Formats: sequence, structure tokens, C-alpha cells
Amino acid sequence: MDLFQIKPQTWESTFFDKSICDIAFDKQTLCTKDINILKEQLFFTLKEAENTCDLLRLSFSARNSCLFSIAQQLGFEVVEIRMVHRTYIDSSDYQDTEKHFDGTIRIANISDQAAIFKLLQEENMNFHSRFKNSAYFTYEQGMNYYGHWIKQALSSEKSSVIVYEYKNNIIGFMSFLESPEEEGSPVYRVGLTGISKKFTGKGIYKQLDSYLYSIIPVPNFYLYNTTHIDNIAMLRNYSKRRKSLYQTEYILYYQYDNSVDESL
Amino acid sequence: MEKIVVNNAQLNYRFTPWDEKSFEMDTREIMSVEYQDENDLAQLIEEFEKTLKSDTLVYFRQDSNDQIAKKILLTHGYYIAEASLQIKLTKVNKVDFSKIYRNNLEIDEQINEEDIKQIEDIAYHSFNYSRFHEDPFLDIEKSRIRYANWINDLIEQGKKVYVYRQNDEIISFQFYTVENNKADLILGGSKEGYGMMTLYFFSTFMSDLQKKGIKKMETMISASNIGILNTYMSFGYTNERTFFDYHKIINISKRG
Repeated sequence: MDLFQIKPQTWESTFFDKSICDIAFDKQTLCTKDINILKEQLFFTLKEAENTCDLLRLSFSARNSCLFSIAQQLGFEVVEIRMVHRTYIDSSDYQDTEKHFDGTIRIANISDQAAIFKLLQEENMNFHSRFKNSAYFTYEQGMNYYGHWIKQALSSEKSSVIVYEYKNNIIGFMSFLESPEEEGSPVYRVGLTGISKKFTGKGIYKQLDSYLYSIIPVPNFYLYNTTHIDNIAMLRNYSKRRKSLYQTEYILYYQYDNSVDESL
Repeated sequence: MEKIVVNNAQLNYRFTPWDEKSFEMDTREIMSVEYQDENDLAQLIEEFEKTLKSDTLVYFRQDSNDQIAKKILLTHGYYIAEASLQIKLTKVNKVDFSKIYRNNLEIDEQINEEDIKQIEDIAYHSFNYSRFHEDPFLDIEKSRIRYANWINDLIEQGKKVYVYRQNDEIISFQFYTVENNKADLILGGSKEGYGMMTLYFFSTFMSDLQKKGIKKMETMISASNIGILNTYMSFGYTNERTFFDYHKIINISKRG
């Protein structure tokens, strides 16, 4: 059986108007294989996908570090390193009565979509994302993706966005999503978080995070927070809020231009 | 330190005989680059590689935000073998370590020949994450030997060390240096099966450093080493910078 399988990504391919495929593999056993066999198999997978995919995505936990170097040697580029935090929250441990900055927080509605998107666009917010990488996506494609994300977060039953307002302007937001239970506990995942550069360092993240805990309908739950390894400010926020690192994830892209290099 | 100069750009590198001994091939570490543009950096890398006379492992830890370095190194056949985080604890005097984990282990700052052998054994067996361990193109056995050998190097360099023993057996150790009230935590670990002791050992030696007037502590951890990163974070450490460790095994005989 092939070690790697090609999985076309229909929604993303349609959205970005290019054929995007994932490479799947058995995460438990891959790194027990001989490294030369792995490299050869991944090379054959690249050849196999050449006629059907424009862009290949390989994502895996750092525990599968064997794949990290092999993939780069075959021409994959590291486009994101994500630090995934998973924290069991007891919201009674996070009672925050201190008011850091004089704004108001509320749950957003669909009429806030334009203001949130404007904030995201104007500030070109300080987050690293593969969708902002001009080697793979145009600026418009990246922004359309985030516009779509915000719209979905505001309109889906399972997700929501909270916004921070100051003098009638939205200066920060945090999207979140309800996910299937884990270990018998509810699970929520924080998606995109943004705070206007003019207002960073004023404790707004802490207030948004506390507000999130206050509106989640249960006192105890798992919360996922994910950011890129370069987002030092957000990682510091996570440390201060006692988030627990769960895994480091690598995402690599391979873009077909002409043809796969014939040499291994 | 050796250097390569092209125009106004400079690449600094060093020979690393301690790594050659473990990996049984020539090794060079690029320590830093100063450049204005892509062309300068590309020329520096090419001139540097011309100095290599036999098969060589080259490694270079650079800020992960340096997109020019990333581009030039990748196009010159380097790959990222490890991502790491430089983390720090500031305002050490305000931390109550006893409230985080028990901090009353009996630790020692003196070690003997038998201790050194045991520490080498821990260094050989207990580490799975590093710029070398995570590179699948390097023999993991040699990476383990490299870590065991490092212990003796640290002792010869006169680095300070804390150890914790149970029944005359070394359970945990931490090598460090101190400069201007800042402690640089170089290498530490616990015997296999004693992971829980790491929390108490950390709490104890950090408390001791605090008593000695240390104001800041700093260390470098692989981004893959989730357990130990969470341990440091539980003491209030925060991220300072992130790095990529670029590797290239240059095969001179193939290059002709």
C-alpha cells in the first residue's frame, strides 16, 4: 500500500480557483519507516499528483519530524508552523474584575461584518498566515478567504464572533467555534483574533478571552487556541492566560510550476 | 571565529570539532550573517561553501522571521531541521516558585567523576529533541553520542551545574552560566522515568538562582518539545524570539 495518499480539497479548490490537494498518511507509523523509502514514496506521490493538483499541502505534528526535512528536500516550502494550545478551562479560575481599558465587549451580528473586515484589511493585522503568502495566493484571494471566514463565523449556528468597541469603533475581535466533545467535555476553538495595532498592550486580549469564558454556556470546557510560531505577542498572551501547549504543527506547500525535478 | 566578506556583507562561522567527533564528518556552524540584500547573502553562502574541503555538515540557527535568509538558504539546498523558541523569565524576584511546584529538593552544585558518567548517561538516553535529534538525515545514535559528549565539554568549560540525587544516583541536572544577573540555562534533563521530578527540580534550582540575585533566566527549547515548553511556561516564561535551524550536508565528492 502507498504510504501517501492524495486527497483533493474540493471547497478550497473552488474558492481559490486552483486544484488544491492534501497528502494523507498514517501519522502513527510513518516515522518508523526507512528514511530513503519515505523520500522515494513522497517523490512518487509528487509525480502522481502532477496532473491533478496545482498545489499540494502537507500538514503534520512535529512528532512526525522525519517528514519535515524530507519534504523540504523534495521542494516543499514551510509556510506555517502552528502552535496549538489545548487548555481545560474552569471559568471560575478566571474571574477578571480588573478593567484594563475603557471599552465595551459584545457578541457581534451580521451587520458588524463590514466593520470587522475593514479592521482586518486596514490594519493588515499582525498575524502570519499561508493565505497571506504571495507565492501561493494573491492579496485579493487571501482577503476574500478571511472575508468568507468572518461571514461564516457570524452566520453559522456553531460559531460566533465577539467584538471590542471603543468610541463606537470596533478595535478588536475574536471568533470561536463549538466543536465535538472530547473526553466527555465540550470543546471550543478560537479562530481568528485581531486587535488594532493602536490598541495593543492595553489588556484587550485578556478582556476578550475573559468575555469568551463568560458567554460559553458551561463552566468547564476544552479551549483550543492556535497561533503561528512567529506571533510572539499572541504566544505571550497565551502564556499569561495559562494556555497549555498541545502540539506544534508544520504546514508545507508544494506548488507545481512546470514539472517535478526528475532527480531524487 | 572565521569570516567571509563579500562587498560590505559578512558571514561568521566556526569549526565545531566537538560535533565532528560525534558525527564523524567535518562540521561547521554559521554563527551570523550581516547583509544588505539577497545577492550579498547568496554570494556569502557560495564563498563559504568553497572553503569546504570534504563532506561537511553545515548548520545555521537564524531568526525565523528572516525571509531573505530563508529564501536564499532553501534555494542553496539547505533545509529547516528544527524550529526553536528562545524563552525568558523576567522579574525573577517577583516569582513565588513554591506556589508553582514544591521547591525544597536537596540539590548540589558539586559533582564527582561518578556523577559525570551518570549525567552523560542521562544526556544520551533522555533527549529526543534538538537541532540534531530532529534531523532524520543524521544518525540518531550519533546525535545521542553528541549530547553525551557535550557534558564533558561543559565541565571542561567550567560551566556551573545543579544536580539532584536520590540514593547517590543522579536524577536531574542543569548546566548554566551567569552574566550580569542573567542565567542562561544551557542543558538540563532528568533520568528516564523521573519526568515528574523535573518540575520539582526546576522549581528548586530556579529558587536557588533567585536567592543568588538572578533577575532574568533564559533558555532555548525545540518547538517540538511540548512537555518541557509547558513546564517552563508554568513558571511564567514567555517567548522572546523564534529560530529556524538550517542544515545542509555537503557532499564534496559528489560535487566534484
